[in-house]
Amino acid sequence: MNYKFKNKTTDFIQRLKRSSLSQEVVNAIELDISSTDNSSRLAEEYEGDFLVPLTMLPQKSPFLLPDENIDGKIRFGVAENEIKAGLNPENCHVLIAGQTNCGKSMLLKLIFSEALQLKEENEKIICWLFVKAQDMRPLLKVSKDVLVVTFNEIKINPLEPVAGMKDVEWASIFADLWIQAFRLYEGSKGFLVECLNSLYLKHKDTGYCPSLFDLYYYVKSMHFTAISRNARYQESILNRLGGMIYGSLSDVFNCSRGHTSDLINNHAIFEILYLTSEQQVFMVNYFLSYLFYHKMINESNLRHFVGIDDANLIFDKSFEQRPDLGLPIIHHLLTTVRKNKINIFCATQTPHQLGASIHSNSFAKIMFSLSYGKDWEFMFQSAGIKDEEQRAYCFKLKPREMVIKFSSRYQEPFVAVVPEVKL
Amino acid sequence: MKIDNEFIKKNNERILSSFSSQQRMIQQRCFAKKEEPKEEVAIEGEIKLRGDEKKFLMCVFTHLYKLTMTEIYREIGLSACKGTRISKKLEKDLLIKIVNISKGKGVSKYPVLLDDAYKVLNVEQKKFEGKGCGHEHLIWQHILAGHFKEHKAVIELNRGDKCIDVAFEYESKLIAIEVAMTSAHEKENIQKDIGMAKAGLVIIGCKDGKVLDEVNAIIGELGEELKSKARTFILSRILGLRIEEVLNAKT
Repeated sequence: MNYKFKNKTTDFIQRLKRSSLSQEVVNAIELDISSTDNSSRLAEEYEGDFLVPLTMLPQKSPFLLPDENIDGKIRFGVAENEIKAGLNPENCHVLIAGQTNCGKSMLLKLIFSEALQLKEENEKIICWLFVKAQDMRPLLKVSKDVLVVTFNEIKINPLEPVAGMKDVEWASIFADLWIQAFRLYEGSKGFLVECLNSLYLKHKDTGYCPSLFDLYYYVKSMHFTAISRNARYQESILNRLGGMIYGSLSDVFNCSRGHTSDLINNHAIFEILYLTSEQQVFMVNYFLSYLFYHKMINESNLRHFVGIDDANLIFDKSFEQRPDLGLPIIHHLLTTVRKNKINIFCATQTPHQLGASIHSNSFAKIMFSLSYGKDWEFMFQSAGIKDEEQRAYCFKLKPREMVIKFSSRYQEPFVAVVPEVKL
Repeated sequence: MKIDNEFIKKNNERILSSFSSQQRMIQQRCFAKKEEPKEEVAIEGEIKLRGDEKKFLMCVFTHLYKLTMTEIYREIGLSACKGTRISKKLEKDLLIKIVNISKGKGVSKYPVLLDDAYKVLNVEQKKFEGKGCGHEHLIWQHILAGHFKEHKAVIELNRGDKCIDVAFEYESKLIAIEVAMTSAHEKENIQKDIGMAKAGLVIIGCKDGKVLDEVNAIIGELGEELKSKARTFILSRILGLRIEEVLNAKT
């Protein structure tokens, strides 16, 4: 055993708590030992009373038993020693990894249901969830004020700048979002920025903001010789824009001013399951960027909890491997959104495919059972689990059982269980 | 509570009823190529003008930048109430834009035709000289030309290859008036009006106090000859002065 205890007494109590003895017996022995002056001697006596050595009794887990520091306002698990594990709103991002049907979504649902009910004095928590299924809908039982965005009734104009931001500034942000989601290159980006600025100028005195339709028609109306580079940029932009505005999102983008600024003050579940993978990346990045810049410019007492279920698409490490684009938008957002009171909860089945941004910036790393060794290695490294016994235990995690590692408050990894909750 | 599609639909409707959005400006006709006739037909079909509305637009076209809203109502025999209703509808349909001009004592509203109005009226868009100037600038040129009409003031007079916003001759001297919405080009204007167009006096009409201060600072840096031939005023103040008073005023 690698653990270093303060003295024999605490060592004995720890082993006692990890043993299969009932909680009542453990509590009674602990009380007896703590109430005497010579606690180490009494501990030795108790240990001698057992017929088999304590270490040979069935053990709970090789992880240290946590103290009260793991508790927080948003409780989501119960540790082996019955202490509740929880997060506080000011804690930063959370990474949740686990194979299918191990309790990831259940955990996300539990955290968000707690967050929906949390009443803070100085700030109000707004929950946004991006999901690829309809399994978060039961959250409406907790609060009816949750909008389920199915991308039918909602109106969004991605070209509408954030209140207080100049058109040209938003044009650059939009161009970044666009080329990353649709995997275009620098040349197309420059061309797009040029078109956008010109389009904003044309709409300046009309009181309307150009829409993606306007951008499409504007780009289409431009004439270049077939062999020119601009003609190729034009084709690339039109190709992607056409797919967006004439696809399932046609009605969504058919507006000059959308609902995005109103969404900032409302809970929402974004069901992105019927969007193409590029559209999913674009929409999540768009909403996060809008939220980030909106909160940066306009002060508010809102704190946003943003959950992304099945986040591999958004945090895919291939986005970080494009040297021509630099770091992906989500990386920049993850490192800076905390200042603007935005907490990101990212759930994934394959953590080894995630980019470094989420691993480096998470306050809490939560590991459920994983079946792929590469994923475990990645998570061990990410959470700093080096002990062989602890590693071996991780391979035997039961459904809803998780290993949690906080980056502050209590920094040792510990085991907890997601309580069964019926929403 | 059963969370089914029906419940979500009704709940979404409830939440979305407090959200606001703005419809898209139907602009395809400005950019789209001719091979998209469907959009074109649909859009033209939407804009239906009544007799009074068309009359209003034609009147604005005939007296573009010259008549205020009230003068246009009077010109075509509309009551203030009906005229306001028509102008608001045309503004909503993006056929006109209303520009507010502060003349010192109050604000005058000038209607300006937008691109769609020319198409609906089937008339050629009027071309005005002036590099990239906006509606407000053009309106002020017309107001100033009207104010000095007894001296036969001309808009965009070209002398010595320099276009002057408003110019006229007084006591065999060329008086140049430049409308300054910003102070950006005023140094160049003064130098060219005096150097190229041989103006005897350059009057700079400034949009507001801020522009006035900036132009005064620019003039302060010029040579004595140019300085003595330049006068600066807030635009609305010029309307209260006769030419003699303008000439005798000190910068």
